[in-house]
Amino acid sequence: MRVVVVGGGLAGVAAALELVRRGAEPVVVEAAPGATALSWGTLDVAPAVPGSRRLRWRTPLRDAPLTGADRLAILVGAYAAHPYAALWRRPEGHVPAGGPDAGAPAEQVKRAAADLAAALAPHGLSLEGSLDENRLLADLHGSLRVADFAFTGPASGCLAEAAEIAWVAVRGLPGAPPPVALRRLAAERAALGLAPVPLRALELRLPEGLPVESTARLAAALERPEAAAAFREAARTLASEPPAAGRVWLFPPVLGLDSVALQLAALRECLAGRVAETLGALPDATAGFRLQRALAAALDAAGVVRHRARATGVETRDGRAAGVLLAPASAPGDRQASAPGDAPGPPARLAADAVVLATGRFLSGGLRDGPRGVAESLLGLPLFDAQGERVDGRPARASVRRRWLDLQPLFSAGVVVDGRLRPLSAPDGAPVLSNLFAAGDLLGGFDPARERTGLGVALQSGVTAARHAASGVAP
Amino acid sequence: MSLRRGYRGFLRELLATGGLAALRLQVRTGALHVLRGLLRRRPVDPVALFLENYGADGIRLPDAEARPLALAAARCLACGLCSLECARVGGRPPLDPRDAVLAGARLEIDLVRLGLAGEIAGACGACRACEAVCPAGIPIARVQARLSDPAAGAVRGRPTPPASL
Repeated sequence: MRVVVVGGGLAGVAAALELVRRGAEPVVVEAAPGATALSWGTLDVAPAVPGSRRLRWRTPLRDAPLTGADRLAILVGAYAAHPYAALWRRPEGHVPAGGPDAGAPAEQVKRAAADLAAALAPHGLSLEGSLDENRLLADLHGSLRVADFAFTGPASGCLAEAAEIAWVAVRGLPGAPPPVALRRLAAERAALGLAPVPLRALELRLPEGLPVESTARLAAALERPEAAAAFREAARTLASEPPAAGRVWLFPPVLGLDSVALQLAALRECLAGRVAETLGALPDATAGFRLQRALAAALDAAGVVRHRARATGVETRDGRAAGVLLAPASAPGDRQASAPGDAPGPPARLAADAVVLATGRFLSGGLRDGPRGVAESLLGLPLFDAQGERVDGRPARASVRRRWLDLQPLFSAGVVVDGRLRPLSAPDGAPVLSNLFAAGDLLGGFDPARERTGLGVALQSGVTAARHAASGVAP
Repeated sequence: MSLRRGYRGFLRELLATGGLAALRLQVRTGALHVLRGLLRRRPVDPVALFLENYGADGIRLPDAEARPLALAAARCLACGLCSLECARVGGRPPLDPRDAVLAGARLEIDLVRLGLAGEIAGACGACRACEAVCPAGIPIARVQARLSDPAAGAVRGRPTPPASL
């Protein structure tokens, strides 16, 4: 059975890998990197932003940390429009937060994460973490994040139990001045009720020849072995101080692209203590770039056919999706003379027994703001925000509130789905097509940028959509 | 500081000359300014004026040919995937692809004036690896080529590269 997965981000890849595990034959259509490639090194399942007004990471009454599993249970139970509610919807209504099977969603997410970790591990990127403990990670500017899972690089930099933090600033690299970052780090630790620890800023002077104009250039340069060796030599000078137990070395996100695990291991050898990167920050999405490359490698290793093309439509027959129409990835107007000997272009049409849409939102091309207003790009599916208001068919600015701290309807716009993740024509209507499934950011009802849980939703909804696509479509 | 001093000077003038005289002085100078603008009916060529003012800084007017390209470049998210991919495949253009796109989107920065065109033309291999990863689908190689084309974008005449920057 052939399932066409439209979208090569985390949701699409998770769906394709699950389809392979279930014996189906997935084909992935990907046009260009999207939101996954711009992620910054964590995979968050339920939101826990310090200071967030919506969900705190400590319960206000007991002042005990909420784990990822607790936060997930709250989301599943309390937010009816959230994709998690659709993933674990019960016929009689919502799952109560402390209900008898409140652990079940967490178990499913843990399994999905373990599967993803196993698929990524051979490609130099490991996924660490769990839903039972919080990871406290710092970003490039010294702000703290509570993360559930994290990828190689930032994953080892949990600051919750650090006895000393050594902040390494590379001389010449753009970024926050170390005193500013350390002040912010100290303030945010204090706000979370953590005991003060020594914070030290160390300057790393790199030898001539290593580019420091951006973290991206430096990270790519460290792929060369001689550059990595020079970097290590420079880093060794930092280790002149006596080793302290529990010291965490925080480097900017520059430790290579594909070789980040090796770089970290080598640095750990010359510096006593744990070595980690800070979370990345745009404009240099090094962590997301690594993730996107590892995902592509995992697909190739699993034998999944990938087409680099832009899906232009879905062919329907008798209320079912029969195929996906493709066009070359670059727009026709953008084509210059292509180099001779180019690989043959993608086919114009892919027949499908089921279709999984993982096209993302505006950033990834799944939603568009065109002359006729906001629309879903492939089928013009109806879009709704977290309050159940219709968003498509009117200009994007009509869905933007004036006060920027308000919840913006535009940012939670997406398709509504039934319990099998099939897009619906209305919040309690019928599925648009009986074998069309949606996953990832395309699912509406949550704001991935505000909650920062886009990857968590993508992972679980991708796996679930694949399960339904593989089981429920007897042609 | 200078503003406050100027204001204080006006106040001092007001006190020294008497309020009405100072006020008349203000009206007279203001009216003169307006009248001078009205009396000067000589037509001003906006293009020439623009080039006279900004040409030396390397900013040029977008022409019809560059307009679609500038619009495409304006879709840039500044995500930096192009510069990551460029660095990964080993490209070392003097102007980072992201910077090139941003320059192409905002202003028609004339790289000929900035003395970079030769280096760019020689160094960017136009392998188009950056275009493959661009989420916005920007034709980055064409933006680079346009920015480094000595013949492009001069509305009046061709800009002459300076002997030294």
